[in-house]
Amino acid sequence: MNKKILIIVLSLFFMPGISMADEFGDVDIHGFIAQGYLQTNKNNFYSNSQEGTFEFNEAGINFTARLSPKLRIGLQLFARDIGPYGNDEVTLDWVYGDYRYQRWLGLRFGKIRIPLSLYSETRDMDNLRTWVFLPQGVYHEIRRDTFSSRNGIELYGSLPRNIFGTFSYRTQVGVLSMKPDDGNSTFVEALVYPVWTVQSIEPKTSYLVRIDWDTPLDGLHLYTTYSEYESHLVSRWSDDMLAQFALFDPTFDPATDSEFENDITDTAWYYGVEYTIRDLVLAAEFFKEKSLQNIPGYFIEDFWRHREGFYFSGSYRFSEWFEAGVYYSEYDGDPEGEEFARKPFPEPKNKYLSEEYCLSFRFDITPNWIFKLEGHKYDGFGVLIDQDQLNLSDDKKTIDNWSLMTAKISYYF
Amino acid sequence: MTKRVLMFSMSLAMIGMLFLSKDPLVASGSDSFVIIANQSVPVSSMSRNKLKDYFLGVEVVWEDSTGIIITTLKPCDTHTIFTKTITGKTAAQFKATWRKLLFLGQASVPKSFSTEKELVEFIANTEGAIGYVSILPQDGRIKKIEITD
Repeated sequence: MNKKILIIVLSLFFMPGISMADEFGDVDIHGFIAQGYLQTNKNNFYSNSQEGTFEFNEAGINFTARLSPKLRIGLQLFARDIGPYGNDEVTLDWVYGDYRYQRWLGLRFGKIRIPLSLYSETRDMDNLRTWVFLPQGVYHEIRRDTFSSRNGIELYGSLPRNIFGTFSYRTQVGVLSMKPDDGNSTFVEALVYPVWTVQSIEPKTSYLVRIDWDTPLDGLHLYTTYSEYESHLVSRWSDDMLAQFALFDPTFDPATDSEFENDITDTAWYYGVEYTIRDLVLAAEFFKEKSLQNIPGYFIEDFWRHREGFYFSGSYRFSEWFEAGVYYSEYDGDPEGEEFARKPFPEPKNKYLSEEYCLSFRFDITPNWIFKLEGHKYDGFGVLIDQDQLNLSDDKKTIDNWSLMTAKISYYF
Repeated sequence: MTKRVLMFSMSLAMIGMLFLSKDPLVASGSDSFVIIANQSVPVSSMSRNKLKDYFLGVEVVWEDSTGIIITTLKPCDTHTIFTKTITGKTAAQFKATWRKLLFLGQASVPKSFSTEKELVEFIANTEGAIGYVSILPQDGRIKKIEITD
């Protein structure tokens, strides 16, 4: 679906006579448009950021209706672009029915958001947070689209509040939306770049369980999530790998043996805490993920990959129109040293690591207009993708210290 | 060295934020507002925890399964005191909570009114509606909800 159509629909809400956040009958309509700018001093951050780029925007519109006191339906259309990812393709971000039988049991069905972590469900809505970019140690930008929603069902509920606070649960089962050219496939390829490329990907059943605890201490919230998914891939060896196979195996036929099938089983744990006191919000999250990749016939048929990360953050609202925040984040794409050991030519450890410092300013110009200005300092290449650096000369790339500046203006209704 | 300086600066910034104080109005507490509801609402009193759940969208129906319609005042002293006293959130955080539910399709944003007169009129004419005002109005179409702790 063309993003131009989405922009035209959104623009109708700027016309006189149309009130912001309109209701048509019993249908609520809300949306947002955002445009950003990215500039890095070295490396490309999912775009041509090293030269400075405006290829960084988002737009969305949602329609919701309450059909009965216990039943809601709704959908959101969303489009974004950051470098080669998204490309303004309008997607059905979520569409689902939500039936709340009782406080302790509700059902959502359709294309539902995935509550992996504190801010994963709302990462499309930057009006709900201080930062332009969430901490990359936990919220790896390139995998965002794959893990934003799934087709499936969710059971959810919460216990009545008492002296222990309140506990709530969410459990989902379904399938993720995966494509061979999406961010997650690019991420899978990047792990062994340029050994193979994903040709097709078939998601298998995935599921998630999450427990939240709103503690008796007002403003203190903890959670933990377990997530698992499987996928079946068909990948193609690179021409260099085909040539090497032919060299070592005279019976190897690149014409017929260039593709292979492999399965990925991925499990992840997320846990975190958020503490809100007056106008201050403190948060910390941790995640650990491991993937088992099975390639029948490969010289290593089963190999594991581990990833982990964390961050600490603080943000403060100084006034109605000004908020500022800081965070520190770390990401380790190879905590067990497996990638390092597997590579034919050893790579520096910093290739898989990333330390990130962020300082962010948010200006609420009006209740509907927001401007953000943000700076990041990185040490390490871990959150970047090799494929995004191909157009850079060696002096414009580094696996050590580099920085990112971003500005973003948004309108919400 | 640079890393230590940055970490120290960030920690200092967060500690500094903790000591910044605002909201002197909060000290006024629950004496500064009155909870009111449409006569159809099947309760005349509720605990503070229950009230918090209603105003944060955790509960969506009354005990008789009629829908809960939340109303609020637009930013003003009464609104600020109410959100802080009952929900534990600042007015901005309260707004963000409902915006999150809205953009996830899980709720409609509460009806918001510029004056208490408009809010009272809406509650009086809307089955299942609940809200708050600074002074209890003399209107037989609405009733006061007592807060029990």
